[in-house]
Amino acid sequence: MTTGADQISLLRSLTELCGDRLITDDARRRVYEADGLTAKKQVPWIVVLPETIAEVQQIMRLCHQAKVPVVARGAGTGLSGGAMPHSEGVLLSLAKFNRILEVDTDNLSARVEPGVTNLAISDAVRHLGLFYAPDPSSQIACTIGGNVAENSGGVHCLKYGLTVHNVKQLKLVSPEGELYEVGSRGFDSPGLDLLALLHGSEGMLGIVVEVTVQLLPIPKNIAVVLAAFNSVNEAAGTVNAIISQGILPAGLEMMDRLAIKAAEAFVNVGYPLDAEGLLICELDGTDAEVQHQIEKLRLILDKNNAIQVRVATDAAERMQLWLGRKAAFPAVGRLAPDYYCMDGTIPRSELAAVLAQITKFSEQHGLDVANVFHAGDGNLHPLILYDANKAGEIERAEAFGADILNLCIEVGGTITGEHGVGVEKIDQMCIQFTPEELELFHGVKSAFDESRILNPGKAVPTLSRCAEFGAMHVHTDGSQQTHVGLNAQKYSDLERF
Amino acid sequence: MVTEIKALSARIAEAYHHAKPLQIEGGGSKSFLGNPVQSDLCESIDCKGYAGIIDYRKDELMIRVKAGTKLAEVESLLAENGQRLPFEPPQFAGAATIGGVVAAGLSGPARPYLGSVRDYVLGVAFIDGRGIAYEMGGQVMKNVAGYDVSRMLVGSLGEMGLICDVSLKVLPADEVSATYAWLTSSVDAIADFQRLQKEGLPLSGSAWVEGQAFIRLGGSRLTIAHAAGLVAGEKLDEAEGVQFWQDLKNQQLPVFEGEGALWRVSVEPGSDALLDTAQVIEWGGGVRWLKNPAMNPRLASDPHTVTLFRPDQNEIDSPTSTPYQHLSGAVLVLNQNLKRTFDPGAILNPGRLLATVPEY
Repeated sequence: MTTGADQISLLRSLTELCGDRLITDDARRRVYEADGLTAKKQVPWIVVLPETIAEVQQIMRLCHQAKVPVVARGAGTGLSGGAMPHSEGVLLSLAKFNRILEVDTDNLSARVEPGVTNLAISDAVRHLGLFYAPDPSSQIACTIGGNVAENSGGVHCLKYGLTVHNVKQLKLVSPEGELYEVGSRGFDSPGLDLLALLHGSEGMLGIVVEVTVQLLPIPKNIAVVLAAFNSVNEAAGTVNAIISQGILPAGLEMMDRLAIKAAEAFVNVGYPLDAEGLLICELDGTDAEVQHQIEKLRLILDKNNAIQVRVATDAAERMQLWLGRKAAFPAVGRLAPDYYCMDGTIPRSELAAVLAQITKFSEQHGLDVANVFHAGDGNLHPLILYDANKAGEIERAEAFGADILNLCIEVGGTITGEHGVGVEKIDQMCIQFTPEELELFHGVKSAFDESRILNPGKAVPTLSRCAEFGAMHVHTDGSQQTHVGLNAQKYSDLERF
Repeated sequence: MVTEIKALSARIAEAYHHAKPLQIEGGGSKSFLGNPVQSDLCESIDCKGYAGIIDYRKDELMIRVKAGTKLAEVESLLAENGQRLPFEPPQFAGAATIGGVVAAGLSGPARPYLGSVRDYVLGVAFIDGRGIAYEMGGQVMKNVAGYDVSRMLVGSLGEMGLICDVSLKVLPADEVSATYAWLTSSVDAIADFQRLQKEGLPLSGSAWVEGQAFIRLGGSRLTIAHAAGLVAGEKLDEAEGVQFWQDLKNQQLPVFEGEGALWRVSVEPGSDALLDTAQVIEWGGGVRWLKNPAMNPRLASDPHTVTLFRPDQNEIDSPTSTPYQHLSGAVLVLNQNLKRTFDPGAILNPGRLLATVPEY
């Protein structure tokens, strides 16, 4: 911890460096108090908005010297509290790094600053027939720097991969203020694969100041197929049938009855209300390829007792079929005052069994749950409905959520497929990993940030925290429980799916 | 923990305790790769006996394999089920194991179009340099809990741990693939590769070998029939095509043969570097192979990743014959720090990848 004198001296240096891009007043600091996980709030000591890499380096040097924590932030749309500020730390906003520096149409790459939004990249290269593949649902607002920090996925990652598969090179500033590059614009790079390690590291290892992404040619043709089923089991079984028979859809999404009803009531796109399960399958490729896949898919859907199949090939129709899925989160949000969005991933073969168990949990906890998820990846987003104003419902929602995450681990899955650990799932890390594995993570952290000033307290729990968490589960009074993760959704105008 | 893993852990823990370096061995097919480990000082440890398929879930596109399993066995099991490893690792002499495939991190012709070994690694169980066993990643496609250690292990040449088993994403096999060839300059070949990629052709390989360009298309029968109309070259006989890509990825084409050093230079695909001297170009232009070049390619002006892939046997001790270029600055420090974290006694394949790591 720093002394008052150190703080004053740091403040003076940062003011000299950033002028009015240093925020110290209460009202404006409060803007940064939370990311998309609004249940966890913390007003930062100060906020800085650097404009150049040299400024970021200097800020890091100063903070490193003063041992003041630094939390990097992009657009603050993350759902796990990864960008929640530190009360005695600097909130480093990369919002001003919002330029696309270079588009290389020969090598299909773009060099961008970290504060550029995900969608802005695709928008900037669309006229060239290119796109950037990972498309998290918040893509209109979330930044590429944040995508690297979370290793973001999206609807299309079954075919096109996650952020880690689509980034060629990163420029970073170390906690000590040194600028360095990992990856390359070619294919090889010397030494260990630091590029892979940095993806999904939640701002714990370095400050990303430049990203070179891989671009892809926009597919010639896209089709969306919607199929309804009489049972969730049949829908889940069909997901496996599609993939095992050699079709690799660009996206493969599933919704259960409650989600279908909510979405239809909200956007009215003609989803069949008598269905228990709905699949939305996007196919892309050359004209011939897409036609071939549609035919193959129809046979599979017939064989698996689909009760209704709709195929959309033109853009307007496709958008119509997607609309309900994309509106599912806000639609479900209308069913109850609050909902809690989970993010576990499971092996697809466990889909039917896990969904059945989630229904049982729902009865046990007395709370409804709607299931909307990336079925092709086995990435579940159960939405637990509750009312924070009713006594005990927060605790029940939280217990329900913990049951789901533990079930995901039990069947060989993970507590987070794409939203990250942040502060939200830090206790579940104690269940998913052994103490030795957590220690190794701390070792990795030390290798990059020995003084531990980057985003302290996030993503990897200390062993003593795990011991405490274990104890917390023994005592049932609940008094020590921190209510993390309960989602009064910020950015309610943002699509979430 | 299974008995074999326990035994391997105990062996490494003992070596750590006695500060006795270990040389990790698999099938030995890539023993030429990387810096020589001073084998006279090392005992060897291998997991060839730890072999077999742990779990294959065809409809999950996932296979979990013990490290000592032969690559050929995995590939043939997948082929029987209409699937494949899209990164097509080289087989070399045929003895390659899955552990070695991941430790070496070498990918084949489809790399620029379908991704590399690390892109398909979902999880790795391994033992660190103190004998502690870990399971990192998992068997599912999306997993952001904890640092992505399993992908970092790809290409680490055994310096970070002994890989015990690996979970890989697999893909459906192409219904058909077809190879086309035409005579052209290297400059024009690269321009053609880039144009065809931008046109959305289902490319799964591209190469230029001494005046001749080759591309491979992969996909459904219908797609290939349609795409063929857009390619100017002459279609190779199927067996001939298969043989060409195999020989290319295993560096067994005639151009690779004979004495002398073989250099691998990784550049941005459209770069004009070394076009005059490279005998073989692949990955859309992104990798250039130089056999016995007149000048050390490390002296070229642009910053590239230059690897002395197979050194000249006569110059093995020369200072210019280090396989990897030196790391510097923060990247060097990070590599050293990570080595120290995973292998504090520096007993695992010491120096094979990170020769610049000083004694500690």
